[in-house]
Order: sequence, then structure tokens, then C-alpha cells
Amino acid sequence: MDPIFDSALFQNYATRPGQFDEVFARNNHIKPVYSDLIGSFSALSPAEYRQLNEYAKRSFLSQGITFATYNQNPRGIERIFPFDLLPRIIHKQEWEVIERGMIQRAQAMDLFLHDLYNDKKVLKDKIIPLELIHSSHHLCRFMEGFTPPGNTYCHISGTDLIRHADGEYYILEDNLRCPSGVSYVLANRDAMKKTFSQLFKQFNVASVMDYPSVLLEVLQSVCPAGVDDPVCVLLTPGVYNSAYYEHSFLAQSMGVELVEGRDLYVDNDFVYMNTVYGPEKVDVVYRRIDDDFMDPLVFLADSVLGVPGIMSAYRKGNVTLVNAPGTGVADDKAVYTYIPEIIRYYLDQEPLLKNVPTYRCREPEHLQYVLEHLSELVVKPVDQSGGYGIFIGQNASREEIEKEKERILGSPREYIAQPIMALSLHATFIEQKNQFEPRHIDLRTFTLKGRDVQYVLSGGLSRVALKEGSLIVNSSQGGGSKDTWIIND
Amino acid sequence: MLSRVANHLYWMGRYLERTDHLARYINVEYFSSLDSPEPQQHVIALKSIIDMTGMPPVEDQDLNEEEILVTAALDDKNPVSIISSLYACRENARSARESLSKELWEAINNFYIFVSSYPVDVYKTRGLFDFTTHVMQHCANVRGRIMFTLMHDISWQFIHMGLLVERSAQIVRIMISKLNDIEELKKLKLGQYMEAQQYNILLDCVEAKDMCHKYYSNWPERHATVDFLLFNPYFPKSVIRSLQKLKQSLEKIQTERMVSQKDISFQVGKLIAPMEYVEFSDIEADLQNFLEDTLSKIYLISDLIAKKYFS
Repeated sequence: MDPIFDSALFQNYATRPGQFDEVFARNNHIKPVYSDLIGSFSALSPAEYRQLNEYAKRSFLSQGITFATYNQNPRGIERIFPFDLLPRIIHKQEWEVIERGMIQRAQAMDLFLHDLYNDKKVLKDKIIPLELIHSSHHLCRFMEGFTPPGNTYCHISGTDLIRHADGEYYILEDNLRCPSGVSYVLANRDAMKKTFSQLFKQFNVASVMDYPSVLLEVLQSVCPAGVDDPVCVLLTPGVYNSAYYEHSFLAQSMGVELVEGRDLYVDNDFVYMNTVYGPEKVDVVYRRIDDDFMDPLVFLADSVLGVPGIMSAYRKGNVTLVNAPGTGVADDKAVYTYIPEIIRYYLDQEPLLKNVPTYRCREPEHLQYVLEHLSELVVKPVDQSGGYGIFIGQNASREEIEKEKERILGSPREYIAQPIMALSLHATFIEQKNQFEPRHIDLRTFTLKGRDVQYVLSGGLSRVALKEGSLIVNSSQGGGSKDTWIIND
Repeated sequence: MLSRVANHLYWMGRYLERTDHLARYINVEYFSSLDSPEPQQHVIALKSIIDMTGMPPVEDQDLNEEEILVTAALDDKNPVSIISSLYACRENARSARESLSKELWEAINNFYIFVSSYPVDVYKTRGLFDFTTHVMQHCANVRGRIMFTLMHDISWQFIHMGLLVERSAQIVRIMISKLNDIEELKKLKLGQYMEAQQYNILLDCVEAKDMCHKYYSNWPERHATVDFLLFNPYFPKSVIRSLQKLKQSLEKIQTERMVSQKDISFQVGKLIAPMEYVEFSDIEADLQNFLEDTLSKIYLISDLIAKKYFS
């Protein structure tokens, strides 16, 4: 008999009919890939588990891996991101397909962006409707007719995957601007190793610690022509940004300067930073601020985060921006629906990973369907991130549905709709109840691409919706995370 | 290294050092006044804490012991409290975190977590000694991490200069405050023994008592105390030692061009040099003025550093 029935941590665990549980099959039998792990966890009493949990929390707090909310106290109340100690496991065989799928997608994205800003064959061949691209907020006219070094646009992509009730992985969305979260993958791994050192010895878990060195390799690989020993920097909006920990962590682990906009200036189309010994030329900028704030001379004039003149230096080929400006046009949720066609068009391959079936409200037949089936659908604005503005039909009242219809009809281009994808469930420790319960999870993966470098981080960030029944995993809305183990037996 | 980061490191050092002196001053002043036969001495101690920390002055009849002690330590609205000073230290460290070692950053962060979560009720009733002692221990711990977990390269020199500028400034401030207390106490005519005791307290505020006793093989009095704190060539906290070390730091980071232009370390040398040839008898008559003048020189040096490297 499975050991969980004697374990106080798991004895009340109930799988949900019709939903995919990562850990348990029906009748609470442990899935083979998890059996050793759950065996070890169920040997712990709730008191012992709580102690380990407290230890892990303290370790995040003392490392300062926190985010601050400023509404109660001007100095900010610091909180840690909730972290669940039971890791999510993906078997290596399964993972290799995802890995190949991510590389395929990243290659197609770069070809697509280059075409879009140069020859526009994809539009001429009517693979994607012209006005869909032209109406995108993220189309960057400054990129027209320009080829970035190494022909790379999306050096860093963060792609979100879910596992549906059918047990299959689906791509939920791409993040091609400034995807964040990778530092939590590394911090989670570190916390797991310290808390469960014995467990790690039993499993053959793929390392994630190579990420910063590959990232540096990517940055150096795309430096401007003629530069032998490139100076790379990471540009942050500053300490009050919610991802500041990640910025400083990445800068430190790559050994590059962490700069703010005020540290940089442009002279004669070259970028320099102010050092104690005067100006030093900068060759590659891994920028963690959005396009709109990059250069007040070109984009938002009142931005104080960016660097006046940097876009002109970029166009002259004197500095490389990572990611390239204008990549947002490809992670637009309306363009997302065309990615399978884009992959076929540029690579002449079938997509290795599935897209969630998506209805584009801009197309009359789709719009019709969406309006008639709102209660079965999730409606998303095409250019919002962070889980904002999402309408979930399942629990909506009649009035709410009517209001949503009006919202969509107001500007159909702005919305897409998808069937309610049942995110898979994973056993997650619930502090208030002192036991594990099923919670929905997704997976953010991280792909790096430079000149002759391609890399997918082994695993990624498994995000958990901690609220019972909730499908929203974003940390800004009460989500937590888990370590993700790619294991090979 | 980035000018902005150099600025953060310098101020991280300054605020760390300030936090330490604030805690020690509160601790030593408060506890040394408790067993005095003269109640007025306790009033003087509280006023001295107000003066040294830089809080707005209060009239004798409005002195509220509990309020003063809480405001000086744990009030985050008071910009010169221990918690505010430490917060500024940590914010500067956070802004330059990628130049620090993980060990140093965590030492500072854990220090801040300790102070910011210290219960005010405990502090008020029985925690003053415990709190200030822990603050001093944390400072020593952080200083150890600065010393032994970083390369002593240019970034380190900026932290080091921050520590030295603040240390010399705080010691002069403490001397000004304490010598002022001694003048007040003299008026109470408590006798020579009580006055000598005050010099011991002053030395305690700087962790210098034992070494001063050893150096002079005698019970300290005015001459020995002032001479030791300002001019002793072996004691690492004496003002002249700190300023000499500061000048050495500046020499280590200057370029040849700066040397040929008689730039910053030369300018700082010019300010410090006269002090190297002063003895107690030269300044005895006008000690307060000498101290005020020294303090303004230290602040001028700080301005010179900022102008040269941070802008």
C-alpha cells in the first residue's frame, strides 16, 4: 500500500475527478516518478515538516529575496515569495521534447521578427493579416530595415506551459520582452539543496546553476562587430523595481556592472558609463526596462529610466540591446495564435509543442462563437501581462457575462478567448491546514539564444496558485513557486 | 567601477559606522548615569543622548526618558535614530549589492531584520542593554565581513573611506558632547572623583578605556583622554589615525594624472597635516573650537571625495 495513507501530511489528500494530478493517480496511488520522493516526505510529521518549511522561509528572508509593498509603510513591508518544498518532477524523456520545442519556437520567432521588420514576406504571403501587426502596440517602427547582431532578437524568452486534463503540455503564452523569474529558479534550488540535502543525493536532478554563465556567453556573442572584449552591463530601473533582486543577482553572478539609466550616457553615438575614473564604453546592454522607457528621444519623452540617444547608437551598430526592441509584437496574445503557422512557414516543420486553441475576437466567426460561449471560455486582453484583465466565464454571473460582451464588442482586436484549460494539479503544502492539498500549477521555461548559442534551462519555474481552485499563478496575485526537477533514472 | 556604486558603498560604510556609535553612546551614557548619587546627572545623560544623536533639543522639564530612548533607537520617523541609520546603510548596500559578497550582504540584511523586528515594548521595559549590545555585535560582524570577504580593491577603499570619515566625525562629536557634559557636571561640584569618572565614560563610548589605561598606566584625566582620542598613533580609532588611513586609501585609488595635478589626496593631506603636529597644550585653552574646526575639516574632506568620485 502506498505510504501516504499513514502520513498525516497526505492522508486527507483527494485527487479531483476530471483533472490531471501530477503526483497522484486515481485512488491516490503515487505515480512512479514521484514514489521515492513522496515516500521521503510522508515519513515526516507535520511538526518536522513545518520546521523545515520555516527554515526555508528564513533563508529567503535573510538573503533578502523579497518583494516590498509600499502601501502600509513608506519603507515597504517586505514579503517573501511563497515557496513550496515539494518539487515538481518532469522525467528527462518528457523534458527533451519540451526542450526541442522551445528551441524550435525561439528559432522561428527570430526569423519571424527579422522578416517582419525587413522583407515582410509573411505579410505578403498572407500568413498573418497585415492590420493585426499594424495595430499592435509593440510594433517598433524604429526597427524597420535593421538587423541586430547575430540576427538575434529574442536572446531571452520566457514561455509559459501548462498541462491540461488530457496530460498533454500546451503553450499558454510567450514572454519575449523582459521575462523575469529565473533568479527564483536558482534560489529555490539553493533552498531545496540546503533543506533536503539527503534527498538530493538519491535523485539525478539536472543542474540549473549554469544559467548565468550561458547568459553571459549569449551577451558576449552578440556584441557589436569589431569589439574583442565586450563590456556587458545589466540595466535596471532601480531598487524599487519588484524584480530588483533578480537584476542584482544576475549582474553579480555574471560579474557585470548593474547600471541604472543615470549611469549611462551617449556621446557621438557610443554608449558610456560614468565610473570613478571617468567614462567607460559599453558594448552590450541587457536591459530590464521596457521599450517605451529605453530612450526618451525616441519613445516616452518623460522617461527617466532610460538613456537619451541609445536607440541611435543601437541603429549605428555601436551597442547591442538585449532583447532587441520591438520583440513585443511577437508575444502579443493575438499573434500567439499564429505561432504554429509561423513555425511551419519559416522552418518547414510541424510545431513540436501545442498551442492552446484560441479564438481571435477580431475574426467575425470567432467573435460570434466567443460571444455565444462566454461561460466556457477565458477572455484575455492581448497586450496585458501579470494576469490582469482576465475574464473567466465559468463562475461569472449573467450580468458579468453581459458586461464582458460589451467590453469585447468595444474593441474586438483587443481580446482573444480560449477554452478553460484545466491547469494540472500538484500536491502543495497548505500552512493553515498543516497538510498537502492539490493546487494548480504551470511552468515558466527560460530559453537563451545568441550567435551559435542555444540553451533551455533544465526545468524552470513551476508556479502554484495557492488559493484553492484558483487558476491564477502570478506572484503579483497570490501565487507561489516550486523547484522543478528534471530527473533521469 | 560606477560612480553611483562608489557613492553607495561609501555611504553604506558611513551609516554602518554611525549606527555603531549611536548604539554605544546610548548604552554607555544611559547605564553609567543610573547609579549616580546626583539625579541631575541622569538628566544630563539624557540631554547628552539628544545632543550626540542630533535630535532637536528639549527643555529639562519636558524630558521624557522613555520617549527619548525609543526615539533615538527605534523610531523610523526620526532620521537620526539607529533604525533609520541602519535602514540607510542597508538601502545603500542593496543598491550596490552586486559588488558585495553574499556573506556581507546577508550580514547587513540580517542585522536590519533584527533591528526592525525588535519589539518596542521589550526595548522600553528591559531590552535597552540587550538591544544596544546586539547592535554593536552586529556592527562588528558586518565589519568583519567587510574586512575578510571582499577583495581590498577600489570598491573596498570606498567602503573603508566611508567607515573612516564617519568614525573620525563621530569620535569628535562624542568628545564635543561629553566634554560639554563634564562642564555641566562641574557646576554641580561633585568632586574630582566624579569628574575623572566622566573621562572613563567618554573612553567607554569609543571602546578606548582599557587601552588608554594601559598606555598611560594611570587613571585617565582630561589631558590623557583628549590626547589619546585625538592623537594616539597606535590606537586605530584615534582621529589622526583614521584621517591618515583615509589619506592612504585615497592614494591607493588615485591615478598618476591625479598625482601630477596635486588632486584629491594632496588636498586632503593639506587639511590633515597641521593636525599631525599639534599637542594637547596647543589646544587646551580652546578645545571646543579645535574640535568644531576638526569636524568641519572632516566634512570638507567628505565633500572633496564626493566631488571627485561620485559626480
